[in-house]
Amino acid sequence: MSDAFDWTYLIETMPALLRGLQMTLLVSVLAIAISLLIGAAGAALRLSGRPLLEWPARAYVSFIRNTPLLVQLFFIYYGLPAIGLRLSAFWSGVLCLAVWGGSYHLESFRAGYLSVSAGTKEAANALALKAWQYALLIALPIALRTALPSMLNTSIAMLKNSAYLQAIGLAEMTFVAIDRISLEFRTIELFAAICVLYLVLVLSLSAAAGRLEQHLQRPFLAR
Amino acid sequence: MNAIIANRDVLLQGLGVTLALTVCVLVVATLLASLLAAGMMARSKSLRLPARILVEAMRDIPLFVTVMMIYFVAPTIGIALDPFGATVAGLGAWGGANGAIIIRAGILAVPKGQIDASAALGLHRLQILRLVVLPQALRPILPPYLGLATQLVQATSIGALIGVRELLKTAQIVIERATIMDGGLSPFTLYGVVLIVYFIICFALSLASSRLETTLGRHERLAVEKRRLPALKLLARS
Repeated sequence: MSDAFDWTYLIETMPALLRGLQMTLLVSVLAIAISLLIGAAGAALRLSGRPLLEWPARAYVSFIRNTPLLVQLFFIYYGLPAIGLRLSAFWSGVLCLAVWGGSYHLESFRAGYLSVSAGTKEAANALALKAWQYALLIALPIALRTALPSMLNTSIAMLKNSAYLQAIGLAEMTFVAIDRISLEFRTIELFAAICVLYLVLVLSLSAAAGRLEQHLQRPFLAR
Repeated sequence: MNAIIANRDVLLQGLGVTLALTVCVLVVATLLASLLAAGMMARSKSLRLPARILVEAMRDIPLFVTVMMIYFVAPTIGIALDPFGATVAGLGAWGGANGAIIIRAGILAVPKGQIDASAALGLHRLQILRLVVLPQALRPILPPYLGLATQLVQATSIGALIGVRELLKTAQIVIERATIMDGGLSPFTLYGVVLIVYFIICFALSLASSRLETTLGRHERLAVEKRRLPALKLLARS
């Protein structure tokens, strides 16, 4: 093993790392999609105004946010089979990330919905819109604009957190890198590579999110 | 449940290591956060730029990767770090970057006119910082900083993956041992208990954070109400 930074090695391992990246993206995209559903459903419960429905949503958010993701992951992957629910590493990872992200999306949805002004509601009432029409056609589009920035942040955080899935042996990017290190000891090259890949991914996604926010912030007339 | 009671000493030791990790991480993170915040707000660009880059990189690279990287790379460049040290360094760096953002925002929240006024009164830069800016900046800083602390408590579990015998690792060991020795202990129960223990610690911190937010915010709210509508204050009191 030479001391210098080995570029040829880096180029040789790149395909393997990119396959890992594919897995990272696949897990994250699936988890983000499910977490949005959890968030929306949870927010509906939380905003229902009935304590019996509201309370579980509150407890869910509080519990997920106040426990480590890694322990949640171990609980799902190693703990659930003990009560007969056996999930593969892949689906354990998706479930764990989705449940984690859902607790943040829930609050974003809620905050967005609450930010819709009372006047809008009164106007909808005056136009004789039904409650579901108001919620779906009026409040939701406005709420989504407010909620979008924090929802994008959560989604990017979920992508970063997919690195935790290395711990249960899912072959995502961090797993591939650490696996290679234990075989070939090219620590500096491999960590430099995955750090750059994560940075490029996260920074470009943040930039795209910023553009989207700007676009949505423009008044309707200007479009 | 019996197996948990039988192993309670080991598990409590693990909890002790988790708490020790947390304290070390908080100290390192706070020192680093103050330095980085000072760097980000420095006058010279050659200080600002590296501080910004470091903060941004720490926040964008997954924390898990940072800790692993420090653990694996430090020995190859001649720094001997045991798992405990590597965890403290990794979490400290991450906490420092996030703390720096909080501190910077808190300091920027102090109206600039006050700093100009203090300068006009002939206060030295350090005096302005110590007597005028910091006491007011603490109000917006403390609640989110406690929130960061909860995240750091949770993140100490990463240490388990590089061999720190903290709460999660001891739970793993107890489960493995129980499976070999006597019929086994349900991982469902033990990881469930570990989740609850983390929840109790972090929930208490979160609660303190939101309490602090209301208490520290009260002062400002009252000031605003006094200025605008005296009647509102009466209403709020009743």
